[in-house]
Amino acid sequence: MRDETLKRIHTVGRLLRYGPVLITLGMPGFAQKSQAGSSNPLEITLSRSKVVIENGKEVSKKADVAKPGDVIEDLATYRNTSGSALKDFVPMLPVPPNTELILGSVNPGNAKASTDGRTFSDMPLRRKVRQANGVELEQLVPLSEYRYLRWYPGEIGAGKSQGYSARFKLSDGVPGSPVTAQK
Amino acid sequence: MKTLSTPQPMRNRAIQVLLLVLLSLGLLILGSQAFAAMAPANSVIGNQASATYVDSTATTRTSTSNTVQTTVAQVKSFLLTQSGMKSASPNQQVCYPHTVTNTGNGSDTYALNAPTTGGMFAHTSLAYYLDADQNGAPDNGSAITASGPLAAGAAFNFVVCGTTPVGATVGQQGTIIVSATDTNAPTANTQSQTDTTTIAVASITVAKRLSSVPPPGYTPVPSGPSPNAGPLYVILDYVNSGTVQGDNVQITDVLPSGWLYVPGSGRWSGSGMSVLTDAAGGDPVGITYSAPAMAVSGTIAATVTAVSGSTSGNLYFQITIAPNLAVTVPGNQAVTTNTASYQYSYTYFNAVTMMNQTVMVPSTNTNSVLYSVLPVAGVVANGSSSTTGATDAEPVTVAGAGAGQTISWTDYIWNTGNGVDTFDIALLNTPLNGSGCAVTNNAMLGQCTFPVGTTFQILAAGGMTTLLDSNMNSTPDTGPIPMPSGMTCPAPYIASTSMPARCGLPIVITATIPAGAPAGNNGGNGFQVLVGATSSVNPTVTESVPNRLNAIAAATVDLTNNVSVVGGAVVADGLGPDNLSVITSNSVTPAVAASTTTRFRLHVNNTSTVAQIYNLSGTFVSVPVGVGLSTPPAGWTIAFRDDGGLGNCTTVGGTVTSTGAVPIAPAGNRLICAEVVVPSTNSSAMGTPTLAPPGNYVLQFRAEQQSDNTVFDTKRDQITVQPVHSVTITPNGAQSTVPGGAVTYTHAVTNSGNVSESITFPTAGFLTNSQVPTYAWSTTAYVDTNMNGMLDIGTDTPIAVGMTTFMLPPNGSQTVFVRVNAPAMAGSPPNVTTLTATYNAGGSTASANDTTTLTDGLKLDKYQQLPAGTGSCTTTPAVTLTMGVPNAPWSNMAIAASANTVPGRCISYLIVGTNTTAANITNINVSDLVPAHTALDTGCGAPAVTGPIALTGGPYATGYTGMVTAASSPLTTTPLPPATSFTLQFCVKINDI
Repeated sequence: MRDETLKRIHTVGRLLRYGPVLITLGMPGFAQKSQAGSSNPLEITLSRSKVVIENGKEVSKKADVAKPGDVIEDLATYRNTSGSALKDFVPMLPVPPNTELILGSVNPGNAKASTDGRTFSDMPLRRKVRQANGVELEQLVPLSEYRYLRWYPGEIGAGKSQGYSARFKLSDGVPGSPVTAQK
Repeated sequence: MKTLSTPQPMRNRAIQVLLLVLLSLGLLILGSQAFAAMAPANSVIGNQASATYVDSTATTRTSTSNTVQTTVAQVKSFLLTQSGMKSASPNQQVCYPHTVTNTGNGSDTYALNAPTTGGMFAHTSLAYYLDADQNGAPDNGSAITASGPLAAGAAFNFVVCGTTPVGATVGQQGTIIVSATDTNAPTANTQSQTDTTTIAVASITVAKRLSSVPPPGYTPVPSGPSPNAGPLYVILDYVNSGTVQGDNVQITDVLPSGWLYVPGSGRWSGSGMSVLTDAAGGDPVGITYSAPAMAVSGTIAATVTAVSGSTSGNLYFQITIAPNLAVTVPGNQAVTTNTASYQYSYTYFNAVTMMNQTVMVPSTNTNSVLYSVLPVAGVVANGSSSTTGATDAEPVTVAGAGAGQTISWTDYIWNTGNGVDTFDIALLNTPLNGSGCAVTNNAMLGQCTFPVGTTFQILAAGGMTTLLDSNMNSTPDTGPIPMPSGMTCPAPYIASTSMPARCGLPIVITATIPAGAPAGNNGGNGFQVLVGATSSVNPTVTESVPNRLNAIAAATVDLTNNVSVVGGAVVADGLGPDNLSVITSNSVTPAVAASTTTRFRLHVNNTSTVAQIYNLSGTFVSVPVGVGLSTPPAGWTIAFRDDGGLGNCTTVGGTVTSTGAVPIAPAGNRLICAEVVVPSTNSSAMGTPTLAPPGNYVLQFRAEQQSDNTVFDTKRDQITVQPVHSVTITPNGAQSTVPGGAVTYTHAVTNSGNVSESITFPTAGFLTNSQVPTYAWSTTAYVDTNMNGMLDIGTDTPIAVGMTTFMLPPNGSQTVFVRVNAPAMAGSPPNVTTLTATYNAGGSTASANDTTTLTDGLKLDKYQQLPAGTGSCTTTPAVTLTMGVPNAPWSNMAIAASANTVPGRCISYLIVGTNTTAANITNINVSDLVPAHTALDTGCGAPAVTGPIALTGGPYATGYTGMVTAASSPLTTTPLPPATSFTLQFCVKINDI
């Protein structure tokens, strides 16, 4: 069971890396609009779906319930409801607790990631670890420690919409896809 | 001869143990990799997106999305441990300890399937028994078949017991297979383990117990805190159920890292209360004992020289539980699980070989004893990102903020308990996102002292997203804060640098100060809100951190002239509060007949910390005294306009009353053009004071924060109106008379400037005739002394050179007459009489010209009036002549400028020709020019004549300009009889400018 699930995740990852990226997997039935006040020119709608493989094809399902090892996709749609462009637009999508980012699923793929919400770097994340002998080695940060994604599109035009998405595996106590496999 | 040998089945078992060790090692390596624990069943995985951006006001803002949630379903899995090996005599009960550990993410129940037996002999009376105290023996005589509910991560300890057959022989091995099954659907999971019993004549079994009292007492201690309250006793019971003596029974107990040996605590039943020395040697006869010399984990080794058949004894020592151990979970049980091992030999007479044979029984593990560290909740909320002291970096302070500003604090919630814990975050006595501080009792409790209307938010690290509620109790929380792994914590948690290492979570609290909040520091106490963190493991465990704002700064705005604050404005530009000084002075010379506009450049500078809109206003502080003006002065207007785009108010945009819908960003400014309209010097009615007398007009401009009118700045500017000297004599006249006749011209001397003028006639040339001396024209000027508008010779004062003078205030007028006597002889060309008055202290003059034409007896007079008295263009004035003079209000006097003489109004003209001779006059041609800046308008009367003349020229339609002409009709035969008159009447409209 676990191996099959991992295989599905890898398959999804390959599809996302090499095939057309679908970001319209949102389930309107369980998406809600931001409750921001009317003066807020940026409307953000977050939707979630569960990604499964049925008969060799990727299918989106409702994500109200999922089990460890399942893959969910969060899609944030940003809409500028004002009459002028919003500058320095930086959308952010957290990696939910008890989940692990599927690296190749980030769309658009030029996002930066962070483990603390403050320092964002290109993926895959790396860090220096001091060994017992005092020597510092650069290591890849485990995917389970990725907690935030940010994009830097610059601006969102008046009346325009933009979508940003990523997929996450519900933690199942098994190490996720090796980061190096995503290179 | 003694022969040492290891039975083949035992070697196989040893290999299995080695494999298990390696497997365990492999799992440990795997476990050391960073990966998250399995998501708990029924937990909720939420998420919320956000974004930062800069809006059209150049303000950085943050927006958040709705939240999405997924409930985690249960996944069932478990682990059954462990296989066992023992030696036993024939017809002896043997028991093997086992543990079921729930490795799924939710509670489950496990069926204990009926044990089976196999091998070279069959165990009988197989059954499972509870072994809650993990001593490897049944807790009671009741057989069990299931575990009962077992929480995720929990373990269930039991033993399986069976009896060896009476006929079993030394060296034979029998097995017991135990198995357990979970409730997974649709297919349940089953796991099994095999226990092996070897028949021996010396059958020594060592069992381990953990007790709070020494033998012979026994009080099991399956769990407790870290550290424990007092020393615990590790009891190693041994029994030889065989018939042959066991030799050199070596017991080796390697303590786990969470168990600390108590030096000098070793005791042996064979020596009573004699102390077993920890160091080598010095032990009682029959035993050797060694143990650590200090309170550390280590190895306790003991060898009992001989254990006779059918005898038993025990060895015990004390341990303590190490402090700061994490709560026991399946992944860390090794820290507090203790398993000893033992080995021995025995010698028996082999009836087959007829020799004594020595058998080395290989090392066998005792049962394992787990001390489960119970959760002890602990939390510290402080302001330190690295240390866990309860008051470290407290209070978390923001030095100052302005009304309307949103401020934030970063607090740190540290899990100082011994296990994973989730902490609810709340602002004490303070609702979120609503009415702000609940003031009631707050003054006493000190929990929230922010101004009423302050709103708060609890955000995740980074301050961009809402702190979510992970445990679905309607309160935001930290999520499960784990225990550190060494000195590290998995993201997003951080590790402390203070010892012992703890994991913590930064959170962000924001407070939005209401726009109208008064400035101040709350009596020096500042403003405070307490942020509380409450354990989910033990809700009575709570801690708080004060978030403080030292002072609310006054919102400010600064109004400057010409230069903005960021552009380098200084006090001379109006920087700072209004010091009542005039900053900018504009000199204005008003026009006589039109208004004049002057502008001031105002920079509205937002010197607060919040973007704001400001309302604009302007008032007159003072006007020239003694000139009859009120404050504000009539006729003056103040307006505010956008700059026209050049940045200097030389061109302007539309009128505004505020700085606009787009708030001015903090430290920003906006250029506003303050436009003041100065009325013309003669804009008020004749006989009333001018609206624009010279002097200084001080204005005060004000920029007032739209959301709080107590926040404003004013500054003063000034307009200096210059003196305007302007006197006119009107109108120029034109009449005709016969030789020897006389005509009178009526003039108005009018002061249209803004200062009083002394009117003088200083030289003889003040009254001249153009045809003198060639022709005997003579002229006299009079002041209308009795002010009746009529020349009353003998009453009105003749103007005398250098003698006559009169004062004219602004808008004042004096009537003067010019009486022109024609020469007795005909033949003079038209005579122009010029009247010149001197004013402005002799510096200026004003003149009027009267043209008198000699006729043969046809006298022409011209009159005018404003139709209907208002300059109506739809009313035709009526004419009634009496002795050649038309009815009032026809007049040959000037019409004073007024609101009725503005563009668009109409004036009617009437020319009256009278035959002053005794004979008929024929061949009359009369003409008059439509005045400049006017055009014929038929609405107030098309050109019309009376008497023996008819219109010529034309056509005379509205808009016509040029001559209006008429002639005798027929020209040569129709006479104008003596003492009769004709009239020519037409009407013109004043052109629009």
